[in-house]
Amino acid sequence: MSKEDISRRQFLNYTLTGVGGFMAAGMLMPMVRFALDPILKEGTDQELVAVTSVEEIANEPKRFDFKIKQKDGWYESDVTQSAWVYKAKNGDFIALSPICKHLGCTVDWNTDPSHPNQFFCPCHLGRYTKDGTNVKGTAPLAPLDVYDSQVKDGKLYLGKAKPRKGA
Amino acid sequence: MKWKTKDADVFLKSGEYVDSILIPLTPVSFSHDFKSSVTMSEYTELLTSEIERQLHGRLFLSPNFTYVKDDQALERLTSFLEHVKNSGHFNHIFLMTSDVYWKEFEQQLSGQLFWVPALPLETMDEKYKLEVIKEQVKPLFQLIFNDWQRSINS
Repeated sequence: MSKEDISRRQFLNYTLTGVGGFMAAGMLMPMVRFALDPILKEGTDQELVAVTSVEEIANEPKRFDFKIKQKDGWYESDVTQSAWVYKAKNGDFIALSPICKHLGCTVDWNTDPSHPNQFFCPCHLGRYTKDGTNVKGTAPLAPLDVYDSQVKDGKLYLGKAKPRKGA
Repeated sequence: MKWKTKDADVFLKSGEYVDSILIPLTPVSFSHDFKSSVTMSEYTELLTSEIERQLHGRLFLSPNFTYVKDDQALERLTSFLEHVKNSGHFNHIFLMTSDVYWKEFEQQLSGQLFWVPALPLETMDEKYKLEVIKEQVKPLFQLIFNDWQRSINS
């Protein structure tokens, strides 16, 4: 018997297993990929948006408006968002979300004459200190959200507003 | 708060904090004043949505009250306002329009009428547009706050 001798049965076995294996793999691969997809997906963190150049940020909170894309079903729209941005004593930039944690009004800086240097919500008289901590005894029960922020090429980029623990 | 299911749930839960309603009055017409009706409606919507954004927790933005300018418009609005008032939810009713039509009926309406003539925003670029809207709504906030203040004092 020469070495390349191979029985008809063996030959068929090999080819069928080979081809069958390919087909099975072809079918299974997408399924596995689909099953794993949610895990492999990168964090749904919203992209960072350039909001302002750093020179414009002062120690006093200043309001900056910027636009993000929001998807609602098929409908994509530009939504205006605002941030209160200031420079902390240690030189960090702090960007607070202006959305009141009570029912979602927009808070303003230093507009309540009887409580200067605080964030003030005109709707239900909620107040927050400069670092966004809610003042006890007023309507809101949690501090203002903080934006993910990053400084690149002299510009401040903001991402998603993240909630913090209550005071 | 908007006319959306998500906001409706909040409204059902925390309705006692929401005591104001803002009703946009927007004309509808397909005859000679078609374009101006669209401009007015669009402008009113821009202003009202900005006000809603800032006063989300206390002010309910009603769906647009659309009307054809005929004899029934006033009657229909009156009965709508009657319904809003009788619901018992809203102590402060604000109406917003760019249509001067309502100005002469101001006294007959049970609600504060804001009449802001429409500006031609279609040719403006986005950034400038935002600035204009922001400036335009500023005095309106003051009027709303004053109204709220009055109810505290009285």
